[in-house]
Amino acid sequence: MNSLNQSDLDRYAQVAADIESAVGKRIAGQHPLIRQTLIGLLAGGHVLLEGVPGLGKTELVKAFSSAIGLTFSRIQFTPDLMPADIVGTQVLEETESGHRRFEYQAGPVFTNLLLADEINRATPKTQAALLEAMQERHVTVSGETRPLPHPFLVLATQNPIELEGTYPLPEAQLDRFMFKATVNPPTAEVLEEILRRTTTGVVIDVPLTADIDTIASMIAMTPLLPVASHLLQYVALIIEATHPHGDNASLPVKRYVRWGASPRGAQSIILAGKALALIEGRPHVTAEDIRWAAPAALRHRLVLGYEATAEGVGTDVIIDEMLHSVPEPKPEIRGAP
Amino acid sequence: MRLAWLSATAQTYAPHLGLAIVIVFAVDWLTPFDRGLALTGLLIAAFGLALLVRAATLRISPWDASRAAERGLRARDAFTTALEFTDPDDGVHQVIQQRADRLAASSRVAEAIPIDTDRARLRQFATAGALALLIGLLPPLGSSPALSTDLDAALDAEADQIEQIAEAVAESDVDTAEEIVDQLERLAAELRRAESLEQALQSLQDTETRLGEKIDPRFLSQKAAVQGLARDLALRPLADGAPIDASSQLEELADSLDDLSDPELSALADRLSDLAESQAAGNPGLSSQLSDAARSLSSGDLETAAQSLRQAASDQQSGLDGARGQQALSETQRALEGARSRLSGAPGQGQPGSDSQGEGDGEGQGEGQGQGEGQGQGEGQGEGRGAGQSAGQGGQPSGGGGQISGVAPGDGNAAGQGSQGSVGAGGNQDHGTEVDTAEVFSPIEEGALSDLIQVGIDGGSGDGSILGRADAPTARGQSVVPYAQVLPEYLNQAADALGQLQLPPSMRGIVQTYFDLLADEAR
Repeated sequence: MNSLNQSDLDRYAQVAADIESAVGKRIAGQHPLIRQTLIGLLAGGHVLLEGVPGLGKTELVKAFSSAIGLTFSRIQFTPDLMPADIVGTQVLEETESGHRRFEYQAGPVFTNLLLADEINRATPKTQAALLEAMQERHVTVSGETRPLPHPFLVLATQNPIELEGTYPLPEAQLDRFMFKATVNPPTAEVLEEILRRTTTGVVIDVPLTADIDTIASMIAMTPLLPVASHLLQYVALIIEATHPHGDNASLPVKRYVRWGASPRGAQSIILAGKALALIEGRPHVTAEDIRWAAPAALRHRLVLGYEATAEGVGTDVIIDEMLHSVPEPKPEIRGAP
Repeated sequence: MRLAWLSATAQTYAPHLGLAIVIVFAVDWLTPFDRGLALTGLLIAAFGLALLVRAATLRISPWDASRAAERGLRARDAFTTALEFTDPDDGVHQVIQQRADRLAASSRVAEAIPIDTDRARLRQFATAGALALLIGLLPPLGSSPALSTDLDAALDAEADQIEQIAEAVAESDVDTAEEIVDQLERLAAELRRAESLEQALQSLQDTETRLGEKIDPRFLSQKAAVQGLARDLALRPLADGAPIDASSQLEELADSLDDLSDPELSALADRLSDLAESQAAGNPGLSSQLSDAARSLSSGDLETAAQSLRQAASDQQSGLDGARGQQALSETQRALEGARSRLSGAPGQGQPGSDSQGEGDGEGQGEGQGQGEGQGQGEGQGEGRGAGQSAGQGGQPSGGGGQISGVAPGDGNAAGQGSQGSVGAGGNQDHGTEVDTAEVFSPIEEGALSDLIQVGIDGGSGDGSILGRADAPTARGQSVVPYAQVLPEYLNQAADALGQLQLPPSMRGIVQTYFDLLADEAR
């Protein structure tokens, strides 16, 4: 039985708004990115950020950790980075009594917020170590399983340029990210605001706006919000429409998409919708939540064919068209709104 | 929801309904369907009734209603979620229910399920309606020009005319007046009620048929006989100072036989014998009475002669009455034929004929009229008049008789008319050319005897010959009508001619027999 009431919802919505506002003081012009990160945190997902260097991805993670009071780590992925550099390793230590023993030294993965910078520069073996930790939320070293802190959110970045010497994440690994957020270059107005905030030598402090218990209760509350059956059907139809050989596939999907989204994509949409409902103070998910979450949840799950590359068609265009082609469930009665 | 469905469905199918109405009006305009307005009303009524029945029986689930309401109110899935999650022990469910209740309480039904207007479809319906109205205002096609403007007015005019005929007949004292008046009044009423041209024409045809059945087949010969006797006695009374009326003369003669001398009785017997002979074909009873009277006078039996004369007077009077009644029937039938022709548009709708070149080579005697190129011998004069174009067509070059046919009132181009060739006497005889009895020129219809008339030179031979040769555009004109249509008038005219005493009494029987045969064939 759930004892949630409207005042709790209102309080959660206020906390979320405060977090966004606090982070927004440090990060200018990236409100969608801030919201996606917060939703990833509440929904227990991880976020893949894609954007050129210098757009404030690290600052974003730092700001979040400051606003919520969470621990923060950053790993710069390089080709020589080893799995032990992430998950930790056993080191030989000598006790005061002269005995020598292996002691586990935790890696940077043991944190609440982990920024995996340029994750595609590490080898697949190292990537797999992190991705396994992301999925299982624990690491196993020398046969001993160690749980990761809760909450645990990974924000991994990919640089879409300078691809030489990189190891692009395979589709199976990409599927483990709940969202893929595109960090767009700031507009002139936003850039002006960034300059105003960052060139005066004054560091803008991000106030602590929520305690970790509140965040934990929000995270616990998120999956409990109900979703009506017709919205589950709506999500299922959207996912089905991403498959080029499906009955609901639109012409662009048939032409440009090679592989559609997995069920994990549908789960991400629903969970993201629930988190969005929570931070907006609603007790249930709506179709608008679904449509809002779908692009970020699906853009890294669609595998495009060479036709898309040749014609310069991106996933966002296809997803946008697909969302227009899949009708929201409505009464099959003429004249009904 | 039902009202919204009703409105949306009505608007969805309104253009289809409009198209159907346009089609109905178009059919009504192009054909004599004449039920456009009624069928349109029926269509609209059926459409409305079907919508109402379907709206009343429409199945609307709670999910449909709540989903429609939350879409109309932009309540973002609040109602359907509340409909699905109703656990009273679950706090989230309770919050969802309360939220839905608040939204419903602050909303109106009209806002939740608005009744929208599809302007495009309504415009299409309005356009179709305007088009149907426009078609409805157009004069109907498919009827004769005389009726194209207003069928009802044409039928009313004919009905008025028929009623006038009925009044005229009613005022007369003919013995068939009551029968004719009944038929005509019934016909006038049917014409006024007629809903289509076909129906009116059928009523006319039926009445014609009924009147025709009342006409005695021997009517014309009877008419010729009684009228001939009346005129004969009017011009040459049986006794000096006798009244003009034939039956009165015979009555008075019966009473005054004793006053006549023997020579007068003998002359009277001869006269009565001649009169009896002239009545033999058309009025055998009267002829017999006159013969008996003549024989009785010759034998000196004046009493018997007087009885025969009185009976002859009675027969003459009854024959006259009967002829007048039959004449009224015949003329009424002709009047109805004229009405039917006017309504059906037969006059003035001659069919174009083919160009032809007339060439004849026949011999005989006769009178020809026409203008053109001709060869042969004979008497010819005159000039074609009339409307239309025509040309004569000669007979077979090798034939002695030849034929001139296919003529029609021309516009001056008619040529090569021969006529009366059959009475010629010559060496050549040709029976190989038959008269085309399918269609002939009707001087009655056209009223211009100077036009060419189809004749058949049957068995002509002798000195005279009419060779018709024409090289002119030909078209069968307006007055080419079926043979059977003009024959009654010919017979009527012949009967009148027989009464003019232009033929000796001994020849009247021959002429009468000839026309009787024609009438029999026509029947």
